[in-house]
Amino acid sequence: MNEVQAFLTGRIWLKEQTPFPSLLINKFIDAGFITPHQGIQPKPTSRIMKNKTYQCRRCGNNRLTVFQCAKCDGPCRYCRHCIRMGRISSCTDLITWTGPEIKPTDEHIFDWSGTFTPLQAKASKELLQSVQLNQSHLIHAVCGAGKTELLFPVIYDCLKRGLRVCLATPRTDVVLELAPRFQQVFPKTIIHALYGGSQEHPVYAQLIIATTHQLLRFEEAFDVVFVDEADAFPYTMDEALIFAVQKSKKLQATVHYITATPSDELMQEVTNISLISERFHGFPLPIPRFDGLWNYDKHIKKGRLTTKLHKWTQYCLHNGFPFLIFFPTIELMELALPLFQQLNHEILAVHAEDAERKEKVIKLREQKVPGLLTSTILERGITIPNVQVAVVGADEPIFTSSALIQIGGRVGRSINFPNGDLVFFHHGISFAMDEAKKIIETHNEKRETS
Amino acid sequence: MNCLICTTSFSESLSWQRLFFLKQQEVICEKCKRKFEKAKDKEHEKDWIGTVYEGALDSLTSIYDYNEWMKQVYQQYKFQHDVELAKIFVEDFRVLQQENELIVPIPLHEEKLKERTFPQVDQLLIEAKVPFTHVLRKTTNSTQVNKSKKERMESEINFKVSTCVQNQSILLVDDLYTTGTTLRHAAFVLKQAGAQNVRAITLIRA
Repeated sequence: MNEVQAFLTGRIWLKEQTPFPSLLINKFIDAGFITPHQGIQPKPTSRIMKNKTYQCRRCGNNRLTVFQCAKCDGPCRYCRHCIRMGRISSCTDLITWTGPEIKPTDEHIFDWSGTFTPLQAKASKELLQSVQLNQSHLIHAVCGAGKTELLFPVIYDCLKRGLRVCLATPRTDVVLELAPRFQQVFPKTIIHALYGGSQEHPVYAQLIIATTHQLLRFEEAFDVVFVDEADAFPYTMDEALIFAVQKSKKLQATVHYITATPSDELMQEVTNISLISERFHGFPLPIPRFDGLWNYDKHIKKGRLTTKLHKWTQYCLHNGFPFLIFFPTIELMELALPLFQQLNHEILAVHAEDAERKEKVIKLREQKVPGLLTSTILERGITIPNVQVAVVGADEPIFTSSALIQIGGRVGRSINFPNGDLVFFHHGISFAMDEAKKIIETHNEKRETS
Repeated sequence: MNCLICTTSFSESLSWQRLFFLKQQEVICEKCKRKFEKAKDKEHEKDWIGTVYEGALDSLTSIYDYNEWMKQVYQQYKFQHDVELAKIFVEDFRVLQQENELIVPIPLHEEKLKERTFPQVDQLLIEAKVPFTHVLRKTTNSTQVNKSKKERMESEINFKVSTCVQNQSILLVDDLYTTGTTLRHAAFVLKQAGAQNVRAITLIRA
């Protein structure tokens, strides 16, 4: 029983896809320890209406596809939205654990000897208070403020109290970066890192670090949920992910958020807010400079970089500064890549579907390549000492003010190189560019007065 | 409209064909569409010369090459059971509406069909509104997957002809052509049962 209980506690799983033999699962169903649920269910709010609408029990999607099913011999609905986690249809069952509860261990070691800046310490204390009072809390901290560290004492407090904790983030990269750091700080705690394609262990983990997408596979599991980078694409776009966070927590549990660029809605939704407007090293945030780069796309399509872009790249190459150049579309970036490679053949390009993304970023950090061209994918979560950043076409709609703030946040993160060039090349200044600059300046003003 | 593969929203440029309903509405975006490659004309009979199956299949047409992209999309269709993806290939199969031959999809074994929940070859024809008839029946639930080329080519026939095909011209339809064993087995039993002519079309040529 132990393994099945440990695996299924808090999860909602396709009956046919567990790591256990179906005979065993059926035995637990007979004993009432496992409860099966229909994969596709009538939507609870629509009972009064004549036309029933249906939704997927796992992801909440109600735009289902109907087909003639050979298994249940009739019209059957299935969900395309979460199909990559195994298809859910009208004739498939999801199971949850409804047997004895797991007794969580209180044996945790907290192995961290870092120190907080006064602002970090204050925010960490405020967050701890909110978590203990079960009030939602937002940590609004500038890029490079040291957001992750201030979670350590709060999560330690939760673990000691036997609570099950989830740290969720929209991006796989962030999960991969955070998991080893937490494992170091909590060496005796079982921590699972979950993302698309990660391994499943039939063990109970008290701390789960997961992509928001993976939370679809949990139901009423967590006592506390922290959502890191709460505004990152695709979290703001996808209702199913908001559904996932809400569904994964226990009914009375609250969700806490950590981000450098909160939306107005988020600011209004939470009860308490801590603001950290200073970076951990105490230096101000780099202010972006705007520089007109007219018809950059036409130039690139004709096979030449404009003089300004050429000069900027040469400046970085000559001084040996690592650099990132952001592009609004992958197509434009791929057209530009050979032009940059004429300046230095080691310059590489990365985007979301690039299998070697991680390796390329590491190469830049180790200075094995001079610079990278990138889509918005590298806008957050990466730290490269002394990096210089240019945005080509900063006025394009894909570069929202929060995207630009995050991109700017890559510059000057290291205490040894607290400055660096941050340039927005544009074809006309957009509102988002103005707003980003204004917000960054406000943070710096607050820093001086605090 | 959102692309069935990458889910990004796209709009289709209007054409006369669309206006007069001569063409189906696009279900995937231009970018995803471009990643499919048409099949190259490849020799298919050579391996079978000298065997009993020589000449069983009168001709073969394949539509797409089995590139990485197709592998990924077809995997989602066949093994993740994403039935709706059959709509991607409607234009490719619609031309069969005009064929005079008897259109015969390669069947699934009954047990396999229950497991898969939908017949992946039939579904391509259903979406394209191509009428078809099942004249073959699979006798065992064996699969050609995980067999070597030699093992496949020497495997036993597991098709039976279930209706009369005397003097008929037949067009077999299958999803994937690898060694061609399945199609030759089918063609062989059809010819034995008196079929005059057996051609084949497959969605993919590996």
